[in-house]
Amino acid sequence: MERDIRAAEKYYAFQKREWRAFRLFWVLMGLVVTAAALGLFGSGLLSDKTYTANGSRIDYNRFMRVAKNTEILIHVNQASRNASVSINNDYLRKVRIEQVVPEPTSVVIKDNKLVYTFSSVQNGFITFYLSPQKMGAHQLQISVNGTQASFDQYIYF
Amino acid sequence: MESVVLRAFIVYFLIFIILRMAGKRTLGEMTAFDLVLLLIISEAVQNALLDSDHSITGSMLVIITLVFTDIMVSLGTNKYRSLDNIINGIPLIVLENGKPLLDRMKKSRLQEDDILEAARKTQGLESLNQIKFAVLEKDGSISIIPYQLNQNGIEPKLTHNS
Repeated sequence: MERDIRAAEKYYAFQKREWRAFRLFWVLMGLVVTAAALGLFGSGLLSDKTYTANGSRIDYNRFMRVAKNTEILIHVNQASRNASVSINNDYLRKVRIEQVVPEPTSVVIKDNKLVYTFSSVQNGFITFYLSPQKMGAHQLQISVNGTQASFDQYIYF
Repeated sequence: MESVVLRAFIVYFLIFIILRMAGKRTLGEMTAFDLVLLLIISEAVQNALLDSDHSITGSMLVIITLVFTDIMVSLGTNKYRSLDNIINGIPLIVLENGKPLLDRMKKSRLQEDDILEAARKTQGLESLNQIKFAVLEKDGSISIIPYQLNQNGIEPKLTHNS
């Protein structure tokens, strides 16, 4: 080891690089925090999406996190009748459907689709409580009373 | 916006305010109880921060938000002296030329025993009249400036600034 304390000066250039690296990383952290606040990693402005068509409205989250519970809200604006919601069966590979409120009168599987039938949903909304299980990108193919829609979603680990 | 980032910000500031208002001596030397208290506080805070979120992304966001806020605060206190005083506190002279400043010590919840303890630990001194200055620092510790020893090495010599 060098004996003179001033020998440390030999490495001053490294110190300057370290300071620059720190400040760059701080900026990146700031970007991550802002993106998270805006909803890139979960619920928020960037993530809450609404789809409207034919009198039905579907509120869902584009970005989700594993084991962080989230919901799909389906507004049905039709008088009486049985409402029927179908979700692609593959969805269950990535996301667990914890609860459906109100309770459907029947749930069947038809053509790789989960079909939920509800009796008399008037001017209200159906809630699917979800718990994402596996990370990755996938599609939610949902159809409400015949209106079909398909959304891309991403689950963070 | 029940965002995890917002929760982390709020918890950071609340905990900061609570601990700041607890005063310097609370944060100073840590006894075993202080350590246990710290652990209990961290446990209590965990539920508020993470709620039902078990994802790695969630806990990483909390950590990044807390550290980022800490860095921003430190940059701010570095630049503005008044902000530094508010956030970190100021050093306080509690003993001058061997004489303790009793009203300051009482307000700061300090006793002569504490000053003597710091003098023994940091300077190896035996009594108060060997201490020129004792300062209660921002972090709650006490720093001791002793009188210089004369040539014979035993008797402390009173040195005044000329």
